[in-house]
Amino acid sequence: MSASWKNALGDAIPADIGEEIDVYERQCELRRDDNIDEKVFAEVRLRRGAYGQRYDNGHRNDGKQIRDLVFPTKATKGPGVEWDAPGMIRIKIPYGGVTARQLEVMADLAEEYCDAILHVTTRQDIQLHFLHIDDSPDLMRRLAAVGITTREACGNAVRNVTGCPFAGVCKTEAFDTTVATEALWKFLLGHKDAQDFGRKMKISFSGCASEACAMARMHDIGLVAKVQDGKRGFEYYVGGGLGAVPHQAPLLYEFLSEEELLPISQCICRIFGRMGEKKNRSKARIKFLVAKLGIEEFRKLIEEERKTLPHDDRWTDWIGKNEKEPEEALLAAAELNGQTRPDGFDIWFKTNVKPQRQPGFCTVELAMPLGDYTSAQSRALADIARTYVGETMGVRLTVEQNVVLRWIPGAKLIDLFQDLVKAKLASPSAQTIVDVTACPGTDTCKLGIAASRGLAGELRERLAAKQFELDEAVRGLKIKVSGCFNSCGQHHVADIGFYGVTRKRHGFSVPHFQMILGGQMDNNAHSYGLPQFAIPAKRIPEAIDRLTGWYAKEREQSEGFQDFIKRMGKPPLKDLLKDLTEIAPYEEDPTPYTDWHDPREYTTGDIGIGECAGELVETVDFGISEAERLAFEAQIALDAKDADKAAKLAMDAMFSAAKALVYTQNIDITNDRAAIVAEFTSRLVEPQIFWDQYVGAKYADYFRDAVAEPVPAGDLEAAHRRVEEATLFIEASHTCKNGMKVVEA
Amino acid sequence: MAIDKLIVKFFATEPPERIADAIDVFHRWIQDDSIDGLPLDVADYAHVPDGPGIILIGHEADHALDETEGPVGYMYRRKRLLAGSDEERVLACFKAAVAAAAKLSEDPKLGLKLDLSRVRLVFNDRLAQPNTDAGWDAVSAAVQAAVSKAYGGADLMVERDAGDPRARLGVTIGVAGDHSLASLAGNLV
Ligand code: SF4
Repeated sequence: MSASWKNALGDAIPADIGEEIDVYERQCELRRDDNIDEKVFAEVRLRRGAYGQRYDNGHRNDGKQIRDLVFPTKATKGPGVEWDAPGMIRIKIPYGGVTARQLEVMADLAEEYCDAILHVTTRQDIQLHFLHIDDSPDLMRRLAAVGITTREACGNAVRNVTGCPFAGVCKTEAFDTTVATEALWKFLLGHKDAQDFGRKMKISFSGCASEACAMARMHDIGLVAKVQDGKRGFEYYVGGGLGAVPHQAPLLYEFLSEEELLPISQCICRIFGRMGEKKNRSKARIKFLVAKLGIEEFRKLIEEERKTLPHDDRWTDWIGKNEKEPEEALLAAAELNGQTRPDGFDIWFKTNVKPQRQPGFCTVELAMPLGDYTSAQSRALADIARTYVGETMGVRLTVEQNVVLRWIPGAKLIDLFQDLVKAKLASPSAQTIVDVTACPGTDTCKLGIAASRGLAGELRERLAAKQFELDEAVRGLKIKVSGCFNSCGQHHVADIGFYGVTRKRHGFSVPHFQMILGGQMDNNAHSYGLPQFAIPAKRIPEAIDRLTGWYAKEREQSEGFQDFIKRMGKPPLKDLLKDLTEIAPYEEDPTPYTDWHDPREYTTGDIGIGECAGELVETVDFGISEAERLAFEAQIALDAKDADKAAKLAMDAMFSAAKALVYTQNIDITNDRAAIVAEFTSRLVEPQIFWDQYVGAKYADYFRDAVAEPVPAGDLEAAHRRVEEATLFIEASHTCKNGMKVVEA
Repeated sequence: MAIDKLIVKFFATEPPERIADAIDVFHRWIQDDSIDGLPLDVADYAHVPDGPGIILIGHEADHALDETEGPVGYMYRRKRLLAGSDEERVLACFKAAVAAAAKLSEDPKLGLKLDLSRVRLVFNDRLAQPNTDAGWDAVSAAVQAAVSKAYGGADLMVERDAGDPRARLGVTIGVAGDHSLASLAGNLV
């Protein structure tokens, strides 16, 4: 047996997931040889978490000229996306919960396939950059072996379901939402009702209404734990979102019981899949559908849908599992005692440590610079987790791109601090102005307009140098930076937010950041900041100095930043920063004509076509593409003279295509083969939808006859015919799909 | 399994004042077309302690002013497209690494001086070269032959990493005698 990760990991990979990855690997091979459509493959790849990266169209401006990046493999992995071009892999970490072993494996993957950096995103994922797609199947296998999936991390699907990193240990929560989060993400992962969206869907769980941790109201679906009459349930919000047009999610239900959490969410997926915008990507998120219909009408639709929703045992079989504490501490509770405190401990304790609900325990937040940490730090973190909180519990990623350790006995804080210092993970800046959040921006994102990470890194360095001299109120402010209006850096909910824009100055494009002031994370992101004006990127640090100095000097006693900005109004703010918006001609000072940490003369010419929206590929296309893959495998089996395998694969291929076509008329079609044949006949053949104008039902009969008359065992010639028939049936399925009208509910 | 992914690192005796200065240097390399292979972009991790520093990302290989594998230094990371015997593969990596290290050391912006009395090698594929005695035994002869050739037949003192079994197979090789990047380049012609 040759050495491969597939063989080496063996049974450690769950069989169904292993099979899915094998299929994905085969799809990669087919695409590389141009045997499946590039658009379909792009969505396949995105739904497996393999995303594009800047310059993957094979062009890059080097600051002097546009260079063609001539890669050796002449294939694409999506429209205009070079096969060999490095990409990003997004690893879903539901509610940010990660085990020690997972930290180790992700460290290995970052080293071997990427650049030895693990990046925490603002949605509690881990992203690895500069991955070659040929390495992606093995990377997925190694993750699967430790219980992680990248499935539906990108594309038009339910993305990572986020949750409070303090769930279960927080003083203000109604109850621990971990089990509900786990139940919902597992239920919707790969669910057939969540495959036909025009855009992605983001879901978040919060334990209480007042804090900021999960920012429920800026999500497509936001859930806030609530207890009513002694029963557990959720305030249910739907239709929020940031992006270019931010929406606060309206309240759908003041209280939805746990029993209804999964079925109502399923109804919403069905309605979004059926009625959501599909053509105009910029209007395809659910927030636009909810706004168009109004929340009352939307609620009525859900209730209608609910009446006919086929029952599923999974809706409730998780309930009750969260009645008791789902986590157990590794070490016994004990308060921080009179031990000698090492240098730096007190300031770190003040910013990074919070008491838990459970007496004697604390949470500790590790501030990861720009969300980045190294493979070595990931392994150190695994060791620390095992020492203080156990193998499987207690480490969570946060939407502020940090890591939280839970269940640390107070008496162990000094030991932990010393271990963190050794691992260079003890930066005393969590939840302060130094701890700037940033999306990838022009570093790696195809849509980036300005260098959000460059700016965030610069601000971080400058603010860290003077953080202990800053006014206490200023030190507690939050800065968030996005590389463009799409808001991945969540700039709308920062005290001071920025997003990248460009302005023409003296005949040149100049990187700028639009400044957004007064957003709020608290109360589940209940208020968004307002845009002020654009400032050249290189002038932002000075703008921050002036703005924070002004706030420190002019604020009234204990006045918050939002109130301060409101009270002062726009004109004095403009006066404060106006001169910063003016820049000298290039010949006099070329500095503002470049972006942060990038010496190239700035250009917008590198902006590509984003893959955030995914490719709009309908479920029927996936089904037919799967049929093609199976038919291809059948050919291989024929070449190997394996008649039985070829015949089975040919039959599977026909069923895949037939089911995909039936799905356009009945989204509840199951894998029951008899039902597929019956519905294929009644819904498609009899009404002459699957019909050829010259030969009538001939191609349909290839399928129906094949079902009635299986190929005799070992009959290579009959198997050969069956494979030919399957190929013709798939062709006819394409023709049928192209001509058919999908039934509107 | 053959060596496909190899890291070669030379440590600095005089590290640059700011490793972020390598951002400009690597962008210039791309503009001037002055490095073999297909360079793609520059990644900046100067903000990460003991991190990969500044990387010139390439298709076949990355070049970095790196802080991960021990103290700061120049790192060459081969990613794909090696051919020949293991010894030839190691030599190919050495040749590319020495050329890029020389170029980086010459850049006045950095003022980088490299210590050529030792070189660090990391086998960046846990499946192909596991961090075990057997993993090392399988490549040891080829690696030592290649390094010896690169150093003009000098005596080698090989020290295999001890400690964390989760780490990749890695060795630091001390070399007797005086060596320069020019002499190494000469040996590798
Ligand atoms: S906000 Fe814009 S630049 Fe940043 S990751 Fe999102 S799409 Fe890319």
